[in-house]
Amino acid sequence: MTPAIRTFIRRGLALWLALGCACCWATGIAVIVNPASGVDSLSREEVSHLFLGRIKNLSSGLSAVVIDTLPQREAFYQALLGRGITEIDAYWARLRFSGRTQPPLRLGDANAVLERVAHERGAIGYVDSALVDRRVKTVLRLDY
Amino acid sequence: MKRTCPALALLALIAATPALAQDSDTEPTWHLGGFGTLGAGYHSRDGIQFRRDLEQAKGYEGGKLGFRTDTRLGVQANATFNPRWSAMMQGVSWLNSEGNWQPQVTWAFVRYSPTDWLDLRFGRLGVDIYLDGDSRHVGYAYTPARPPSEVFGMVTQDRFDGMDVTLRHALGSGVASLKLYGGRSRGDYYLFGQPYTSPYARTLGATLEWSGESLTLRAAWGDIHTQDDTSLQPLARALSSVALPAPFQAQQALAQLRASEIDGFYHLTFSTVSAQYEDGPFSLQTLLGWERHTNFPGYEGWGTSVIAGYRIGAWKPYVTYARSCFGPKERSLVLPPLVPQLTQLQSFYDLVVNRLNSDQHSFGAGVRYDFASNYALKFQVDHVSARESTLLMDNSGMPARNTSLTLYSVVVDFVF
Repeated sequence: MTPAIRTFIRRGLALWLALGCACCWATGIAVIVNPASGVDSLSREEVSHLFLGRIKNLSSGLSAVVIDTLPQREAFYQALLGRGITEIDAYWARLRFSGRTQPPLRLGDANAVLERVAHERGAIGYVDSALVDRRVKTVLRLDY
Repeated sequence: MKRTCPALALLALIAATPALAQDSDTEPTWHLGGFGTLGAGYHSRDGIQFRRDLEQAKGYEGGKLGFRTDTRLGVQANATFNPRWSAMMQGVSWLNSEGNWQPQVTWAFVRYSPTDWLDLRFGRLGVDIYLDGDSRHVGYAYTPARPPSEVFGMVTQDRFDGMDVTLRHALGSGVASLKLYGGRSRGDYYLFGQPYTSPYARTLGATLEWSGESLTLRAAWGDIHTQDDTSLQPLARALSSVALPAPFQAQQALAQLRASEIDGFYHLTFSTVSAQYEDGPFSLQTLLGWERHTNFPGYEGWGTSVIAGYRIGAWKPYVTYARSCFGPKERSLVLPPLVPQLTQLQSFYDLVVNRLNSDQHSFGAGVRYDFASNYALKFQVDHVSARESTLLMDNSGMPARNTSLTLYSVVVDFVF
C-alpha cells in the first residue's frame, strides 16, 4: 500500500469518524444555561418541572427565564416527556387561563436562544447539541 | 359586566402601590390572549333540556340542534411587572343563569411571588376544584367536549373575591403544593325556572397537590357558607302557622319542628380526591368527590368521573364516565289533607325537600382532533340516564325525573 493510499484511507477514516460523531451530537438536544448561572447540571425531572412551570427558579436560586425554541419544541417535549406538542399546548392552556403561570418565552430560532441565554444569567433553553458553543453551558442532553 | 367593582377596585389599588413600582427593575410585559368554544349539540328527548352545569338557564332542547350550551368566549390580559409582581384579568361570555350572554369577570388579581415557593394572589379568583386547571370554561384544556357535568356542573359558585396563598416544596421526584384560599363567593344557579344568587356567602378552601413527571395527585376541600338566605322563609312561616284539630297534634308539632329547622345560614361543603396520569400518548383522569349541603332539609351525596384517552398523532379518542348521587336527609312530614291549603302546603314541602335530588350517570365516547395549532375539533356521544336530576330539566325549568337521552356534540375549541 503506497503512502498516498494510506494517507487517503487515514484521512477518510478521520473524516468518517468526525462526521459520525457530528451526526451523533446533532441527533441530540442540549438544555443550556448561562455559564454564570451557578448551575452545572440538571436532572431530567428538574428540567421537566422548569419547562412545565412547576418551579420558577434554577437550582442556584436565580429566577428562571424559560425559553422554547420554536422549531424544536415538538422534538424537545417528545424527548423530555414522551408527549406530543398538542398535549403540551393543552397543558399550558390549563395553567395560562387559570392564572397559575405563563408558558415559556418562545424564540424563533436557535441563534436567538443562544444569544438570550448567553446574555441572561437566569435563562434556560434548548438547542440542537451541534450548535452549542462556549457562550453557554450544557446541563442536560436529550436524545431524539 | 355584573358585580365586578370590588375585584377591579382591589386590582387597581394593588397595582398602584408604591411597593410594586419600587420592586420593578424591568419593563412590564403585557400579553393579551383568549379562548373560546363553538359548540353544537343534539338529542331527541322531547321536553327535556340538557345543561352542562347548574348555572345555565337553558340547555340543548330535545329534537332541536342547539348551539348555546357549550359555546363561550374568553379574553384575558396578563401583565408581568417583574419576577415578583404580575396581574391578570379575564372576562368570559357564556349562557348564564339569566339566559343571556353578558360577559363576567372570572379572574382579576394581582400576584406577588416573593420566593420560588410562595405565591400570593389578591382579587377575583377561582375555587380550586377542577383537575384540568381552575376553570370550567377553557374547552381546549380538556380532552372531552366539556367537563363531566355530573361532577363539575354541580358547584357553580366557583369564583370568589379574596385571596389565596400557595406554598410549594420539592417532594420526592415531584413538587408538592398547598393552597389555602378564602373570600366572598361569586356564582349563580338556575333552578326551578328562575335564577338564584346567594345573598351573601363566603368561600374557604384548601388544596393539597403533588405533581410528578407522569402523575398528579390532588386532595381538595372547600366550604361555602351562605348567610341570611330568606328564600325558604315563606315555607317556614306556613309550617309554623299550621293549626290542626286535636287528633292531629303530633303532625302539628312535627310541622313546627320542621319550621324551626329552616334557617338562612348553611354550608355547602365538598371534598375531592383526584388523580391524573399521563404517560406518553396515554392519559387517565379520575375524581371522587363528596358533597354536603346543610340547607334544609340537608343533603349529602357523592360524585365520580373517569376520563381515559389515547393520543394517535393529531387524533385522541377518549371515553368518559360520570355519576352523581345527591339526596336529602330524612325530614318526613305528612299533613292531613283536611283543607286545600294543607294539600298545597304538603306539595310545596315535598318539592322543597326533594329540590336538589340527583341520581344521574353518563357514559361518553368521542375523539379530539387537533387539526391546527391551538385548535381542536371534538365529536362526542353521551348517553345520560337520570332517575332524578337538577341538570336535566323540562322546558319550564323544573328538574327532570326518570329520563334518559343520547347527546351528540360537536365543538371547536381554540386559544389565542
